[in-house]
Amino acid sequence: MADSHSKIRENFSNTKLLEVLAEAGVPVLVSGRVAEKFRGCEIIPSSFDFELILKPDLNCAVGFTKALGKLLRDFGLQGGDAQDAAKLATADFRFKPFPTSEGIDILVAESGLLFEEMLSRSTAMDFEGLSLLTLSAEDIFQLKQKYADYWYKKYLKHYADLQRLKEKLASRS
Amino acid sequence: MTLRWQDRIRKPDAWLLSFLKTHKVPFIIFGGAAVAFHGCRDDFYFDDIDVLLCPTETHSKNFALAVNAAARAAGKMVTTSFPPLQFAKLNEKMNLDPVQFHIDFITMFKPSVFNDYMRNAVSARIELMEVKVLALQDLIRLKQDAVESNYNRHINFTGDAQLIKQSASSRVV
Repeated sequence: MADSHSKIRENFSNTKLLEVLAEAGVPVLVSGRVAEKFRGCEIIPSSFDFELILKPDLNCAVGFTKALGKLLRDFGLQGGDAQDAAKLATADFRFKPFPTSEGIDILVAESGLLFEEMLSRSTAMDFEGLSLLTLSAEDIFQLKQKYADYWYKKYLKHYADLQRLKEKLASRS
Repeated sequence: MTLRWQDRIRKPDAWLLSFLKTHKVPFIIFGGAAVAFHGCRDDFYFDDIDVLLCPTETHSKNFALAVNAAARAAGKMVTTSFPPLQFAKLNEKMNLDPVQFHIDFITMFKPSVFNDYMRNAVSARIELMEVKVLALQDLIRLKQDAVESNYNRHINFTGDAQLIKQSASSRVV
C-alpha cells in the first residue's frame, strides 16, 4: 500500500491531470499563478500553480471522477488500492472549497450560471501543448476578493469565540 | 428540560466516536464543540465536531481499524478502505462522510504536544461514554493562533486582489 502511494506521489503530475481532463472533455477554467502570469497580473513569479474551477453539475463530477480513475489505472492501480490512491490524490490536490497552499487546487464554482459567465469571459492559453481556458483578469480579481472575504468571516467567528473564552477564564479567576 | 452540551452531539457522530474508544484511539474534542462545551456559545451551538488525533503509527492503525469496524457495523462502507498510516503524519484532515457524519479528524500536533493537551483536557460525557475536551486555556491558545492566521490570510488575499486590479488596469491603460 505504501508503495502505491509513493508511486502516485512521485508520478502524479499536474500536466497529466490536465491532459486526462481535456481528453475526457471535462470543462475546467484555470486560475491561480499560471493564469495571473498569462493575464500579465502576476504577483509572485511561479510557473506552476493552478486553480482549476469545475462546473457544479453531475456530468462534470462524473467526468472528473472517471478521468481521475483513468489516471490511476494508468499507474496500474486497481480496486482498493486505486480507491485509496484516489483519496490520497484528491487530498494532495486539495479538493476543497478554498485553497490554502501552493500546488493545484480544484474548486467547484458556486453555480452553473457563474461558471458559464466566467467561461464566456475566458480565453484559451497554451500550456505545455495543452489549450487551457483561463479566467479573465476581472474574474481572477473577484476570486481573490472572495477568498479575502471568506477568511475575514472566519476571522470574525474565531475572534468572537476568543473573546467569550477569555471572559470565561476571567470569570473563573 | 434544560438543553445540555451532549444533546448537541448528533447520534451518528457519538456512535462513530464510540468505535474510537473501543479501539483505544486517544482523541480530544476541540474547535467549536469545545467552545460550546465551555459555555461560550449560545445554546451550546456548534456545526461540526473537530477531533484531534495523536499522530503515531499505532494510533493511526487503530484509527483505521475503528473506522473499518464502524463501516462493517453500519453494513456499508463508511469510507473506502482507509490508508492505514495516513494519520501517523501531521496536518492530516479527514471527514469520512460529510452527509452522515459531522466530524473532522485532524492531526495538528506532534505526540508530545498532543499528550500535553490530553493531560490538561477535561472530561465530558456523551451518554455513557467519557470523552476528553480541550482545556479552556489550551483552547484560548489555539483560538489566538486561528484568529491571527485567518486575519493574515484575509490581508494577504486582499493585498493580492488589489495588486491584480492595479496590474490589470495599468495594462489596459
